[in-house]
Amino acid sequence: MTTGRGIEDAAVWAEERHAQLRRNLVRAVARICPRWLAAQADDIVQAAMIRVMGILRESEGKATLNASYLWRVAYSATVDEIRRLRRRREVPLEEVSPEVLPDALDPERSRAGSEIAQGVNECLQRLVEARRFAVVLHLQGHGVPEAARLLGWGAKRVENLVYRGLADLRRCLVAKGIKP
Amino acid sequence: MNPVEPDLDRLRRAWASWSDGAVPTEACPEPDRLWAAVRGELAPEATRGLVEHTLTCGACAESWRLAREVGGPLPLPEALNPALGRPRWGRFGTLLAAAAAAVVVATMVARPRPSPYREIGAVVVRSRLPEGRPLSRSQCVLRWSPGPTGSRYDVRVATEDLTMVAAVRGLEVTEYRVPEGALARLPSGAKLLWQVEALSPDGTRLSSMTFVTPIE
Repeated sequence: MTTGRGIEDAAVWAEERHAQLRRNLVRAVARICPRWLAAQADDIVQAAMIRVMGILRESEGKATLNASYLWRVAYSATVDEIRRLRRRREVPLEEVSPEVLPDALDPERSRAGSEIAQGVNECLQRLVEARRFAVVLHLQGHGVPEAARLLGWGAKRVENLVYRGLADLRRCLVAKGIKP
Repeated sequence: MNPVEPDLDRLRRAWASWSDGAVPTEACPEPDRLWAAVRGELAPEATRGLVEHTLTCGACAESWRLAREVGGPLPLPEALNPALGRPRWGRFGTLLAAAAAAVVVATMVARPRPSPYREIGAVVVRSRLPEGRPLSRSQCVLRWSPGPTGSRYDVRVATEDLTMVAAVRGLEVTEYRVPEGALARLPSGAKLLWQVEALSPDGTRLSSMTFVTPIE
């Protein structure tokens, strides 16, 4: 039977648990959230909290909420918010570009950058499949050992694929009149 | 700059800029799946499929980078497991989950929201129901003050434990009748949490606070 004290303790525990969860999600979202989305960080944290509490409720409090899980929830809530804004087209291009392409503040360089971006994308799609996978991961910032692990291939093979794939990419860009 | 591949930084920037403003599609995988792929938790075949998707979807390519940039073993500043372990009163898990959920809801209700997201000029969407007065199940009509002229309204209604009761989009009037059937399983005295989002003709959104209304 639940005593009054037991209920009070449970309530205090729940409140502490909530505060701790929230602090951790705030930190995770702050780390993941792009600068241009910072104004929405509070809403993203709230959305993440609701998901976590939903999991707790469904599991009747038995769910294990380790750090890895909270990072995943924070990431998912952030990407959902990005997608929601993008679908509503609420993110002006000029708010996004400076972070990923410093040239964007200069219209001429921005146009050139855009042509290169399009060229890179077109040329990537022409690569042989295995090289394409390896080069895309390389351009996304993965090192060879990590890319090899993700693709399920040996590091030596991936290193070779990246090398040859980048050479193909450069040749393709040059053929398009783009200096890589 | 990478000394071995002098143009690599430029290629990476160009590739990243291709994602600018990219709009996601119905074919986009769930964010959870992208996260799992980047962290090596998926089978290689599945990962290769997602990599291929990022080639044609700038939005997912960007999401992939976000996941990768987090990197590392991902510690959080506060140790979670000891404090979040199950307490001694384990068989009251449901009570605890409900209590914790109630705290979330209390936060939703009490959280100050001074940002422009909640207010446009002097316009604030407010409840027009008498505070604390229960609504009957057959006449459960939620009412609120109007947003900017010409606004349409999205309404979400949930219980205290955040179970969705009803939702509606694009209302042209400032009231919404919650279907009686949606309330059938709720106990007498249950509290409804509801929130209104006004979408003005110029595309600006205005979200209300979360209101609490009991039902008979």
